[in-house]
Amino acid sequence: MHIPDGFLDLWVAGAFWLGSGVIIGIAVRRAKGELGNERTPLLGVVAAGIFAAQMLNWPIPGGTSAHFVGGAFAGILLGPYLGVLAMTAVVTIQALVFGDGGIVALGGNLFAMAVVDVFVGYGLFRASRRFHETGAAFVAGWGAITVSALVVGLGVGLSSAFAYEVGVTVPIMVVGHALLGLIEGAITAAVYGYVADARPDLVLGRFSDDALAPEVGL
Amino acid sequence: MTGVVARSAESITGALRAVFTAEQVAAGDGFLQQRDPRVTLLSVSGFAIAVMLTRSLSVTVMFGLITAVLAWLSAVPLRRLATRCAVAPFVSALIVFPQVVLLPGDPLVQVFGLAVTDAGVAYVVLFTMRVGVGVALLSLIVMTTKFSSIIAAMRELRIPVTLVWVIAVTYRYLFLFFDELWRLILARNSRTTGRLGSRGGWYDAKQLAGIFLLRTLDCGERVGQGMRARGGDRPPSPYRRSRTIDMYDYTLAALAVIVMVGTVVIRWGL
Repeated sequence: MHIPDGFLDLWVAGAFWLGSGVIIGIAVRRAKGELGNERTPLLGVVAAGIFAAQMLNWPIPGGTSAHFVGGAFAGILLGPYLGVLAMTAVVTIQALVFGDGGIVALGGNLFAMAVVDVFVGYGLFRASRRFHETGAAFVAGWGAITVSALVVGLGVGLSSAFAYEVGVTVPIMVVGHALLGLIEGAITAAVYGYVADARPDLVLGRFSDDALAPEVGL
Repeated sequence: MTGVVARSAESITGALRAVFTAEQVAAGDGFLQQRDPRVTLLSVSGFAIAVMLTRSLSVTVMFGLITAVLAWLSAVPLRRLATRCAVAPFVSALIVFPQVVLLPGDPLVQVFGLAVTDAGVAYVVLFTMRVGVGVALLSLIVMTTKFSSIIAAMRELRIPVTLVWVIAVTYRYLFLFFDELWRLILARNSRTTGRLGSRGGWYDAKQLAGIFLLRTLDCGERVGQGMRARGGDRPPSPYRRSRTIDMYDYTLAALAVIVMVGTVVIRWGL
């Protein structure tokens, strides 16, 4: 999912930076309001946990394996704004410590994986959890990764630097990730089910009637 | 170790090896290591922006040479840099490879009845080069600038302290959690005999991820309690490092501005 430098036109990269900058700015303000100055950094502990969990390989048929992305899970566990901050930390460290993605493309990667992935995951979970909670986590994981791929497809398709146009990039990204997203959905559902069973107090809305998770115990 | 457990262990080991190698180079005494991290971040970003702007192969090659010279001055082994950067351009080349026959232009050669055009070949080469140089520039930052210095630079560049502090705490706990996950994997592996099928592997991964995330959340709670016990709200001072920007810093920044302006002039003929 990481876009390297070279795929995006500068104006597309700039638009992504602007979009992610605005949302992350709002998330920072909301986080300070919800957690306070002194406890917001502790989100980093949860973000580090999600980052490390991405290292775990999940077997898929054919002998290969897949990784957890975790944006939807962060949205479900932390709520959308705190989830955005946690995933912003993850994506930034992936770029500046592990060299994933690019410098100019970091705005696009933040928008896709820290903003869209988290918000869509949270929205889908919230909309569908009244039917079946673990099923809702699956839908959130699957839908979030698919919509993020759509955003990436739009970004690279609109860029003149990339020879394929939107009519090619969007279907390829969406169909590919709709299939891969089944794995992300299954992982999100599995992990959500496990955490919700063991620590129901941590999970969104269980005790506070649709409010954000009770500060994730921070 | 075999199967999924082995692959997870390899992922963690690979990630740690990449970070430790980069930290080793970043601890060196080269040109970029001695620069103010703000200048390194902004200047290398400037070079990356210029690479994104250009549509000329010769200009892209020039940026490749600038990157190689910066790496050489910074004692970054070129082979290590090339190895680190090889995957993204290779995959990018595969993605755009069909353009050698799709882009209209003068035919160079016929392959299976399809005309390989000069414009197509030029595009694939240029695109691959641009991605390669872009990835190499990011790798230069990663390999020459310690992340603690980048965090300090973020603060001095006025990125909101809350966000910087979340990133700093994530980085601080990341290796602790890698270690925790590694120990969980080893413990599970030592209690497992034979090979697990897909179903068994999936169940194992679910258990591992669930227990691991619960431990993570417990750790967050303990850290929070500890922080409250110590009085809580303190400024993130450990990362604040101010230093005087010297002549070499100004030279690097000026070079970045010149190449950005030059690229605009070459592309649009202003």
